[in-house]
Amino acid sequence: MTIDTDWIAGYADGELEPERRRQVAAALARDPSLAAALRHERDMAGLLAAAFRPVDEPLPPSIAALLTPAAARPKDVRRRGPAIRWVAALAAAVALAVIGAGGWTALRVIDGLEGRIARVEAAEQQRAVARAAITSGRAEALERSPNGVEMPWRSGAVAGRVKPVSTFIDGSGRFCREFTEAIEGPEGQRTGGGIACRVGQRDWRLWWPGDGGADSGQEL
Amino acid sequence: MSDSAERVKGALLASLPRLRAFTRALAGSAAEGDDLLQATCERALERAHQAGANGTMQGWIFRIAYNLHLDRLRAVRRRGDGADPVDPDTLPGGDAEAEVEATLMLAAVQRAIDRLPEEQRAVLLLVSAGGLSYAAAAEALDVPVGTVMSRLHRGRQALQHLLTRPAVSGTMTAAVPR
Repeated sequence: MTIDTDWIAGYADGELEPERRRQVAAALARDPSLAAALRHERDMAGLLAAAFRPVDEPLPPSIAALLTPAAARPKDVRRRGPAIRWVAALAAAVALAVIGAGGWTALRVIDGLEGRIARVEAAEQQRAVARAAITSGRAEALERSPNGVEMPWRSGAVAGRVKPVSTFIDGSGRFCREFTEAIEGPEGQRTGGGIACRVGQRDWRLWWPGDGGADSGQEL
Repeated sequence: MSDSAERVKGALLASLPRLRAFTRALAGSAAEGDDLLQATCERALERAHQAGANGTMQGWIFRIAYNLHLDRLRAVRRRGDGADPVDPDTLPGGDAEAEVEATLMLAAVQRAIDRLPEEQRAVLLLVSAGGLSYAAAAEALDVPVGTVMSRLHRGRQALQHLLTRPAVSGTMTAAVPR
């Protein structure tokens, strides 16, 4: 039983299907030169990851302007009621995930979230409370926590951790912060993040697509 | 602004830190990389109506970035001040070695990776800087997943060959955070 040496890459990256993975594992146990090849593969992968880290610097204004959400939110999303808006906002927050594997994972999470809209409707009341807690916990951390310092919060059944990543002043002079967050509630844990800008006393608006209000984000 | 454009904006924002790492690594400098990033965002928004489902949008965005990069390379070559990728086996040793000893890891890796054949370089950067899965990288390059894996393996081997010389192998091992 021989394996294709290319599979070493897939094995190192966790991208092999189970059957091939087993074959590589068996071959590794037999062949020391293969084990050395795997070590080299991982060394290079680690070196590359260290050399080309995600760039979390503030955006040049010309690019930020391109990505600013349009003033009008899609009308049909608002008409579908608060539960759906809440999911849309959460889906967007998840889409903004900047932790670890980043967008790829986040986009798959979105697909799952959208399919659960009906179930979410039934628990609207509970979620309204959770949403307020998340907004408040996030605002607290964005107000008080320095860059790189994670701040935990808890409110009833919902808890979260928010870590500001960077701070910048946007084109219209607003104080904005990029952040990552993890939220834990009765329905499990979610991680996400994004960019929020302060629009008033302790009032932080998510940059995209807003936190449910018709006015959020549009002036950014 | 159409729904599709808003959706593309969301996907661009979600990909931003890694997309930016990718464009910078591709272009070879922060300024040129951010310039490529801007061109990528503009092109993606222009073509938002062509964007696929959320599951494939990341590959689509990186594909736009990479194709714009290739367009720029071709333009540079037409002007005559570019160079073809060099086969690593034909290189004299020394440069990468000296840089590693000076702990300029990024510069060393960037220089080494710039010497790889373009197809290997693209896959390495998509997966390392871009953080793409094999499936998304395959989408970005319009090649089968098996080709991604094969180029990745050969690219890492070539990189190892360029960076690891007997005199500095210990330094390299220590420089790998693992």
